[in-house]
Amino acid sequence: MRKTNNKVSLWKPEAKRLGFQVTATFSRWLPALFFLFVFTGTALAGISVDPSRSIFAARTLGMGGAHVGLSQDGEGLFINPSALAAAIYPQMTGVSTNILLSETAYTMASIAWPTQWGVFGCGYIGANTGGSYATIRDPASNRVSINPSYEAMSSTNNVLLFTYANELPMKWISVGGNLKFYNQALSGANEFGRGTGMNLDLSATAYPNEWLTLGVNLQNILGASLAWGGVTDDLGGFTKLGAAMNLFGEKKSLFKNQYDIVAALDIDLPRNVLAENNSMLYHLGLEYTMNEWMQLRAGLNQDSNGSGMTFGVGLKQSAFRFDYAYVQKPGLGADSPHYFSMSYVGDIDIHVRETLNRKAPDIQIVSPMDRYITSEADLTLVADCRAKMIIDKKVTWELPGIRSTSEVYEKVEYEYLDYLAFNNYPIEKRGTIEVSAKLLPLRNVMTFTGYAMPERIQGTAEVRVLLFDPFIDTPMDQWAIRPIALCSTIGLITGYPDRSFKPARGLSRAELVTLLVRTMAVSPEVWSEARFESRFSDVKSNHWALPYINIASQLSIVKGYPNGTFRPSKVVSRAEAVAIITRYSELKNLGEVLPESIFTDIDPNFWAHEYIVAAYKAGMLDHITDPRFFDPHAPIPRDEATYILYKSPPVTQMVNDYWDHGTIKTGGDMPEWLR
Amino acid sequence: MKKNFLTASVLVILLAGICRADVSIALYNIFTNDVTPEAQPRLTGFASSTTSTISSVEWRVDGGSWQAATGTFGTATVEFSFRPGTGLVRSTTPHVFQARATNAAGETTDPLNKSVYIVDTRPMITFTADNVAVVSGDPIDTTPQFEVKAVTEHPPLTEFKLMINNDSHDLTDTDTTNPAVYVGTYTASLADGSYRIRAIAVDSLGRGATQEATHVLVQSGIAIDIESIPLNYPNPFDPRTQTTSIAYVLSKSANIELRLYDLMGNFLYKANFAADAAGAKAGYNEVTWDGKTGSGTTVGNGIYIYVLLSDGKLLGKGKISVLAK
Repeated sequence: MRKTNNKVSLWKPEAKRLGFQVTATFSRWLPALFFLFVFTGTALAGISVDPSRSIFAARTLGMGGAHVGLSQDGEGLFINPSALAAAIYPQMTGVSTNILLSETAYTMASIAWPTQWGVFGCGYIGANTGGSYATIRDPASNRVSINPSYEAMSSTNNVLLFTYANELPMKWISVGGNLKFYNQALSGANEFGRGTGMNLDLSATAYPNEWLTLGVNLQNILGASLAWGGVTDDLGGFTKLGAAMNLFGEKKSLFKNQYDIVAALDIDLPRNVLAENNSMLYHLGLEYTMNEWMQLRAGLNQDSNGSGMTFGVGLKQSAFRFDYAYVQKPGLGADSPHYFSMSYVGDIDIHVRETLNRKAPDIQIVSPMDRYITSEADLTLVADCRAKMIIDKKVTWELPGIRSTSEVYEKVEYEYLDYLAFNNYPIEKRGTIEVSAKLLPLRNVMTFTGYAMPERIQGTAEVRVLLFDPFIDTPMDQWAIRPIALCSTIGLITGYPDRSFKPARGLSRAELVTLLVRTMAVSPEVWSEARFESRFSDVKSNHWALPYINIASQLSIVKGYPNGTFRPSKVVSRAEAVAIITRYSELKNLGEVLPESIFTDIDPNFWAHEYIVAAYKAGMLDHITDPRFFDPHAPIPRDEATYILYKSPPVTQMVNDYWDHGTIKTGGDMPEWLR
Repeated sequence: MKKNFLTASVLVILLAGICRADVSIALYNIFTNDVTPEAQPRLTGFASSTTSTISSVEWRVDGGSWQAATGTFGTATVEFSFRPGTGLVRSTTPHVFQARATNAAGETTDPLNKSVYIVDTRPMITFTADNVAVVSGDPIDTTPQFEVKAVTEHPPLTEFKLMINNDSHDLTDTDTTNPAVYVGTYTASLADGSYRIRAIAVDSLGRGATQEATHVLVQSGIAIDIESIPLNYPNPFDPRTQTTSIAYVLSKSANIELRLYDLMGNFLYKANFAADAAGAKAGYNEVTWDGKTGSGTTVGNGIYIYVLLSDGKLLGKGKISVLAK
């Protein structure tokens, strides 16, 4: 693909993105132009000058007149209209100057407007002069003198062009043309004549690859002439051939104006033009793009006067380009060599403006994690303590002088806080900091407080750490150390007098029931009733766990065996423990069926099936590494029982309360004798 | 001095006759030495046809339009006459009268020419420097060849001389064709400065005349330049039927280059004139342009700009209007 970035793929979306309403009214009036002019030729008088055959625009002049391959701008409208098909943005060029010893007032203006239907353009060139004196022969001296009876004669010479250019379906060839209307007049000295005519330029541009452009423009192919009443002047014309080549490789495509140095060569083949002779003419030019705002040019120009070097410079600012050319006309040293032109070449200016929306402290404690449990009293905290700034970034895309659009983004940046304190003690550190702290036993809360100016907005971050003195047989890397530490801290479980926990030891039914009931709010009346009379035959009235067993039975946490016994000393099986804790937790999803792929050793008819399912779905069994084997009849060890209990909703709530407030609401109504 | 062969005032001399087929025409000069002070001279002649009758005689002067002469036509031999409707310019250059006759068969003679000097009662004098007419203020060369021409109704001249400032130089007549016409030359060697040039002639009746040009400049030491603006005549002109003369006054003799451009600066035509040659002499010069480019193409309607250069220096410029209708 040689030319993917055509006006359809770039300009139109660009226009849409910028909110343009691209419309083309040309289609309405263009056909009408064909009816504006009626031309009839009579006797051929001579060759008339065609102002559009060459232009006095400074970029073209600076490059020695070579422009056929580089005609994507307003100057190109006159030289090779087909190249305008590559124009992405509107193009305009204007020149107003005096040429040829300041005897001709020269005006040139052009505009080309890309649309989704092609590029439409319009151009004008006017070359006017006056001061041609009517003369007489003095009767006495026979010399020529000004005839005072007549005003001096003047000549106007105008051509109006309507341009269209578009690319062919294969994309790498574009075609274009100029429909030209001529109007010339000579007036003064009691004489008046007007000549009018129409002609047509047809051109094509090819992009055989990304570094080479070839172009051809057949000027005045209609061969039509200028009708001055009784006589007709021919206009002649050039066949202009041109090539432009990026000297530094194919990476930078010409039509995107991404070149560094471009060489251009034009060959003009005259057809009966007004000139001293009709020989072939060459134009050679170089353009060096120094940076995005400056171009240097040089050229070798050959015209009817001879050959000469040309120089030029282009200065681009925003979408506008100012061009200067130095061209000394051969054989006429008194002629001014300075030429200027101004062009609108179109370019999207992107303006970015950032304004601070709000600024607030943003303190993130990197380590330790909140609810960290440690056995070490010395703790190092790492925190990012910064001020977070929300910045409104307004991006404006502007096609200068034509349209602009804006979008606003939120952008986040950080800077140091203006004030920072750790546990209310000011500290000088900012950014990512490390702070050492001495922990107190049990729950510690550590707070960073910062302020962001100028609004003095306060920000805080806190981390809660539990300093836990582990049992002698539960090191900090014990798999259930977190449930053990927290359940021990909030008083749900206790160790043995020797500071051991015996995590692998089985848990008796009485111990489990006791553990659960101690977490519950039980009224004194219930306690009173439960302390004396046993509900089970094998639980004596002096059994240490009698009230807990009775209350648990009363609350349907335990049911006992069908023979009326409770078997308090019996080690709880895994199924029993899950069933008891599930009932204790009052889970709502009892009765659901366990998926077949999980716990294959649990039969759906197993009595504890529904409890296991509920516990599984409540996440209480997520410690089982191989979920296919539940092993329901195996004794449950103390650490696993603690884990399952820790994961039960009531205990989870207690743990959260502890982390949040440092206290728990449990056993509030437990009589003193049981505490 | 000049020989005097003026004879009878009423002598009729057959000067010339033109015969074509059976039609002939002749003019009879009633002016001695072809010189007359009458600004509207009457000319007479005969036209005859051997096999038919003369139906008309036409005449014109100085290439103007043909007009009908008066006479009684319809016979084999007709005497006719004519005179200009307006007075002709008195000059040392003769006016050329032409006449032609047509018979009833439609046969017309070739034009018969007759030159007539129309002068004052005093001698008429003109002078040139290097073949360029000199008027007051003109530049001239340092070694100009002055040529003085005098025409008198009453020859011979008793005095015929050229004065440069107060220096008098008698002139020798070199014209042998007409006793009333005197031509004398003098080559001067002049230093830079301003001169008063006078040509003086006194006729046989003692009536003198002077032709004078003051402030005639010799300026070899200054750069070549053009006095006033160049002009062309006619302007506008039709290159299909006319040429135009570009006139300019050079401060001194120099190589001159004439270049023509169209309004867009396209170079069309160039002509070079070597110093001292026509078009490059000190003083008044005229060169012609036929409205064609260097390749012979006729230019179209419009205004064209010409420049006069000397060794690359721009001396002057002007604008030629071309209008073919």
